[in-house]
Amino acid sequence: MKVTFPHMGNCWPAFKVLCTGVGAEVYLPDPNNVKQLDAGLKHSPEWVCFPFKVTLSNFIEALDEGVDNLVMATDCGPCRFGFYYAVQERILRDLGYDFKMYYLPQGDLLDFKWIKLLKALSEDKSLLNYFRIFRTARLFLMKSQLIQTVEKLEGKIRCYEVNKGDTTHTLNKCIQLIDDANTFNELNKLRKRIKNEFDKIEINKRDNNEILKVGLSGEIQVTLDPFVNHDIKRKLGELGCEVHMNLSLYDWIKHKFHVNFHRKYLEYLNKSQKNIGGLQMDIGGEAFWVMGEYIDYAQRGFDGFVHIYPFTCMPEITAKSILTKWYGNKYFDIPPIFFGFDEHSGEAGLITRLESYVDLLKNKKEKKNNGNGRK
Amino acid sequence: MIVIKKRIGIPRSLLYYKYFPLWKTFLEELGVEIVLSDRTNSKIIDIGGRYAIDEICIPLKLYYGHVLNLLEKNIDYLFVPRYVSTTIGTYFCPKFLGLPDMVRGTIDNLPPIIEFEVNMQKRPMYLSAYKLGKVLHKSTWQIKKAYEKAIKDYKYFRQLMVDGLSFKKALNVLNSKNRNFKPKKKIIDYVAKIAIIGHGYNVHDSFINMNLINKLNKMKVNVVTLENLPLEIFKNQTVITNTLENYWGNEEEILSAVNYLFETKDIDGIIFICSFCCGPDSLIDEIMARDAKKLKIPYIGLVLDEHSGQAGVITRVEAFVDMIVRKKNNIRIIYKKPTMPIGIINKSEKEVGAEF
Repeated sequence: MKVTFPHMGNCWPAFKVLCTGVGAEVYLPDPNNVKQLDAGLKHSPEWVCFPFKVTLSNFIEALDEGVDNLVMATDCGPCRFGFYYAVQERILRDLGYDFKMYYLPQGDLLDFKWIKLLKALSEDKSLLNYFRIFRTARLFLMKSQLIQTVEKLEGKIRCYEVNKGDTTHTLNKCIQLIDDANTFNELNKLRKRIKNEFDKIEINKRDNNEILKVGLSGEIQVTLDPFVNHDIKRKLGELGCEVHMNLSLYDWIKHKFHVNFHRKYLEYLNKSQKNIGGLQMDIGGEAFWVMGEYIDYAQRGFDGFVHIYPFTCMPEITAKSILTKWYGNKYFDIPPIFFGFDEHSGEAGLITRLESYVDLLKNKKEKKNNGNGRK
Repeated sequence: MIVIKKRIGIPRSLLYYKYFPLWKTFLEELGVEIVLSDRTNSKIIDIGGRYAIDEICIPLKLYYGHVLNLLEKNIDYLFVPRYVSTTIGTYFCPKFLGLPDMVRGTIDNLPPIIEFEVNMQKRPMYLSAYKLGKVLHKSTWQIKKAYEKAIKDYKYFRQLMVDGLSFKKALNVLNSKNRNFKPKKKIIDYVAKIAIIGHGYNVHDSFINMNLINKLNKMKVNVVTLENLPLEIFKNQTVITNTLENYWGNEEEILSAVNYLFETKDIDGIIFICSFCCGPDSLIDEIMARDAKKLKIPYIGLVLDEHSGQAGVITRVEAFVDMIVRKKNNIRIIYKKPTMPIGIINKSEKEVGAEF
């Protein structure tokens, strides 16, 4: 059985092991690119959010290659994500493709409905299969944890690198290493290896006052996929910002298993700001995360906050409209910048805005340190 | 003793167009004065647009405008309930869930907000109403009596709309306290029967939709809105595919109404009104358009925002109505007057043309 799933940045090794672990063959679509996106744009609704279009284009590419089993995650929440697989199935069927759509219900992972998906993917129907399923789930968790480690290190180290491009190179190498390892033992060893790989990068450790600390947060697909967000993490790093990003696939999975205590802390931060508009309930998407992290970074004394989201995303827009006013009213002293991504993004505009933002942050920091800024 | 009634401001926006009759009776029974914001006008859109961020949908921009309009009216409380779900298994859009927080976070110098959660997943409606009554320091007995009357009024109001009244007229009847009102059925010769489907705040707010219903009426079109359809059709949860049930509150109504219209085929065309950036509608629109194409029912989606030029929308609607009329008449021409020479306009077409 040949299976495919859509891309979400560097998370593909984790998803891959979820399918190969139970004995399915995987076709990995090409990394997202403009040519592939065209097909998705052509057939998706006009103002649906961008991840819908990207994932649809992945599916179209895979179906053209002759894959006939698609796997898509789905949610229960008030956000559009729960509708993705159904509408995509409808669109693809109307296009005349013949395939089977599997969906991974991850609204609440503790209801263990995901086992059904894994059972359906494997051809082995014996009882022994359950061992394989749980082994696969553990491999998936370990891999996603490693990917989280890699992505966090990448954001923090890039601004110090001496040779431009070293970090990206190491990142790709580590992701490949994670993909190659397929036993618990190997993955355990990888933990140290990854840290060593990043230690090998030649760095120029600068004064703490010079480096800008920027928090990056937003909708998960947009934050994790470098094609969708025009590699904003790399761009920020090359402009001299230490990028801190808490959001990751592992974080998301932990939240769905109800053991993400960092998120619970963020929830508490939100609820404590009731008077000035902190969210009082989970409104879907990553709105809780984003607003909580904004408060968290402000309290930890960060310099800037970058919020990225797909254009017209409902929860993120709610968060954005509150964040905009928070800085305007001087409740928190950390300037946010917002980027809504769509298929129409021009790269030059993005770079200009980022550069000026970083310049402003630098000026602000100098003022803070010396009492006067650049003239 | 002079009793000073507390003044509660209710913005004339969003779910005002759905649940206002309920809260109106309830609050009035509890001895509260209700202050409504002005009807939507260009000034409200203007200030609302200035306060809201650029990407938010127009109903929310209008909501800000209405709230700011209310602040000028010397109110004691602002009524911003948090609607989470009103039927089991559905939620409202995330912007509704975070509405009180958004209002609190973005507008300064607010009076105290009356915020209570309407969440049928957790507690039935009467407990939400009980919470609201307790905020106003009323006794349980008073709240119970008021709520019973409110539910009665709301049911009467819905019945009026099912009988064919528009939102405005039904509200007037409710205000007149005349419970024996029976709507007269006017028999007009109409050229087509068109359903206007969409969120209540888009369909019944004549400013957002540029007075679409009146304009259609002038074209001799019989307009049916979602509330005019029988109540039974809204009881079952709609299904998108065999594995997915719809989970949006407002869309639930739209989908059941459209499914009903598709089944009965007692309609010549469907106009779907939605606001730009509306999340749920972007997907619902796609599903409905595909269904309509399969069943060969004329369907048009009108996307509205504060920049919509009136001429553009009207042209599209006129063309849509023309198309439907022609479709109907063509069938007649083929079967009844096969020898009619080209160039002579059909009589009923001429009548429509005169209106333009």
